[in-house]
Amino acid sequence: MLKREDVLMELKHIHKTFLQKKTEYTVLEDINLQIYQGEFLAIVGPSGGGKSTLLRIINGLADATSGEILYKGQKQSGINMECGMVFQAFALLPWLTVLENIELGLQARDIPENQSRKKANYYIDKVGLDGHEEAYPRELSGGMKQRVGFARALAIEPEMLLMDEPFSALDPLTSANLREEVLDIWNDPHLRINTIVMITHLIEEAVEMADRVIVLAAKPGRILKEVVIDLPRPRNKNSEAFQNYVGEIFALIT
Amino acid sequence: MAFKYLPTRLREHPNWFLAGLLCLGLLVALTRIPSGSPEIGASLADSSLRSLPRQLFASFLRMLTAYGGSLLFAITIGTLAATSQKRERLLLPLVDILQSVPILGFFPTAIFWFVALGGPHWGVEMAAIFLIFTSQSWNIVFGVYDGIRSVPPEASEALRSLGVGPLALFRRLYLPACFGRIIDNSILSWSNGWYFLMACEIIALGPVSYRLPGIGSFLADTIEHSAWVNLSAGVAALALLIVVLDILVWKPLGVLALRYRFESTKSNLSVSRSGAALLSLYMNGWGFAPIRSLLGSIHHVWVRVESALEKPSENGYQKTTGWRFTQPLLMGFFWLVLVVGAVYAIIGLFHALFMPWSLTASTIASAVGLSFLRIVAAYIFCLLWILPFVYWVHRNSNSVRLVKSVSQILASIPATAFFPIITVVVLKIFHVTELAVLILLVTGMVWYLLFNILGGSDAIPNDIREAASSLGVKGGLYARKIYLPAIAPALVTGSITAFGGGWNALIISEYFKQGSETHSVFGIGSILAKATYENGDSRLMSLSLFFMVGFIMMFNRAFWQPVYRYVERRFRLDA
Repeated sequence: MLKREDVLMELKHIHKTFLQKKTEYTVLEDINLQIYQGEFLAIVGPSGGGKSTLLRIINGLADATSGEILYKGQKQSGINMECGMVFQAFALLPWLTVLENIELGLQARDIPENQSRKKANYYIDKVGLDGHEEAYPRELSGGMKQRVGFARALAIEPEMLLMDEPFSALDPLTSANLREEVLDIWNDPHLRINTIVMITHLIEEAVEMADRVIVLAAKPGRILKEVVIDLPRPRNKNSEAFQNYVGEIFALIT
Repeated sequence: MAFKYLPTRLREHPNWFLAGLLCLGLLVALTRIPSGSPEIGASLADSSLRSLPRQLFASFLRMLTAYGGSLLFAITIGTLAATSQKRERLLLPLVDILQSVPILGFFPTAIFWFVALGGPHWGVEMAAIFLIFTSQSWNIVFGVYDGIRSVPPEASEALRSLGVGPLALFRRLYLPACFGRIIDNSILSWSNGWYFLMACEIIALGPVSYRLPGIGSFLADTIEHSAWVNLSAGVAALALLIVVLDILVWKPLGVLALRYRFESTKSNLSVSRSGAALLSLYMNGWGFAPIRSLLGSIHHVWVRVESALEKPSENGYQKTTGWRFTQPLLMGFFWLVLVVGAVYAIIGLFHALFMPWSLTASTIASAVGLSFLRIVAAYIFCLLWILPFVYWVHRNSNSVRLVKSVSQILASIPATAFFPIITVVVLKIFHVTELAVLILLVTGMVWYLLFNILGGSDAIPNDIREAASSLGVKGGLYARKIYLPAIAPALVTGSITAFGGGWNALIISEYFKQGSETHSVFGIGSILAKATYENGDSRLMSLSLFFMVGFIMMFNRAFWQPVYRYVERRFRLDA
């Protein structure tokens, strides 16, 4: 399942501090992490623990105070264009239709219009949004909005998908469905994307989906432990092994 | 200076006919100049540095008096409009028309009226206060109205089911609910007030001219005598007063207003730290005990009056004898004003329209058109630099704070204080009066646009910015797909208010004095100014005001309102 030899991204001694009211706060302390090609990595931790900041540093949306990131052995600076990001509150543009929202990243890559239209439509089908191409985000339910978020991130055909608590704004049933579909996308051999990094505060969600769970401590955020989830898929939430993993991580955080 | 106020909710079927008729009556009454010129006491010019504190204080008192009046007026009218659909249908369109009337057009006749009322000295003083009052009131009215209308219906239902009467409801619910908007709009009203204060402390009416002691007169005198040191001292003193007021009064009140917010969502409202500290000093410091006890006794009197009028009984709130008498009395008075105003309006309209028109009167239509083109030109000039500038500020987020505080300080100094300097410089260098007029117009419009658009770009949510950078969206694509749509509602609000500012500035821009020379360009502003300042032609005045206000109203209804509705629906940031 895990081919440890193919390191896609490597984080070396990442520190992040914020200056607030003349006091320095350490958000992330000495994060060392390797992300492997093809894995599903989950990062869990208490809220306010710097999880989101870490994901933003991986994408290049935020700069680390010190430390460096290697992507395929190359030092990364600025936005990593091989990453697609899915946001907790969707971050869709309300004045663009579903199709236009999804095409946005393609236009930024100067892809000709007929091609970008084709690609966008392909991913609209993939995430089950067909028939909603011309709808505006505010006409959609939360689950449908997040599908637009996924399609937008997938349409730029990234190698790595970054997800910032992608299911936490959705109701339980919708998020369960969407979780399954994300796993299908991850396993789809026709898609370029094969690596996923997901931030979550739900331990069960992490154990259900990920190959490997990184447990962060809060204040300052640092890696407590790495837990490899060695369970066959689809995973049975009620199995004893599953619950043991959940219990182990829960004990680490609290 | 912040935003001029736009009502966000207008309920159905405003009574434009009655409101228009009333305004017309008001217009005719106000522009009817009594024969003979008034005796105006002209005080001596004094531009010595020693007199500066006294003059600044005189202006401040004038502003304070006018503001007190505006506050009382605005809270009364706003509450009346917001609490009954019947009243709202009349009052809202009335205020809407009145706010689009260029204030300065009424000023000279107001002087005649008030001099007749209060004698040569106090009459002029009252007229100046009245002018400032009209520049401060309307936005607060809409603020109060909007604040009360945004109270969730359950809140007032809950209180009424407890047996709370209308006066207590006002004190307990409505006043706190619109407190924040009153403060926001008061800040705006004060900067409006300073702008017009400069224009009304010195005015020549045909052969008579007068000056009131104040900072406006002081600045004009220093310019007349080329006393540049005194001029800079005057401008600095005024700016200092405005900054001090902001720190000592508005910041703490703004913090206080946060307590009365109905919205429970956490937003990115930043609490001013100096404001919070000062507020707690005012609340607890022993030095402020007299002020606290004064406010306490005002509250006490109000509660006494309230309980005298509203006797709580076992079946909840019941009208007491007091109410039973006062209410019909008030209603009767209201209808009397209504009928007299309407009759007056009709007579005035006939009088103005069916007598032979003077030669100038036939040029009114083209004058309005030309002035409109001037406003459009000034508007385009503003947009051409503001849009790229705000875009740059938005993309370099560490400059936002600096730009905001610098422009707030710049905007707080009323542009009218600089009018004489601007005209001297422009006329010396370019010798084109038209250019000077355009620049004066720009100063009356630019801040509305700048602050609205800055606010709009600030409101773009962080996750949308992050999504854009994550997707690699930047440059022209970002400007087209994210920046421009996101600021569109703020841009339209800013444009509407900037046009309002432009119409208002016309009268002091198209016709100005510089030393002994009078410069003017053809336009509705200069027709109005000449009719009032030079020959006191009241028919020409009411005709030009009538056409100007009519044009403004029509343009607002036919152009801005549909644009505003469309943009609000299409580019709202709440998906």
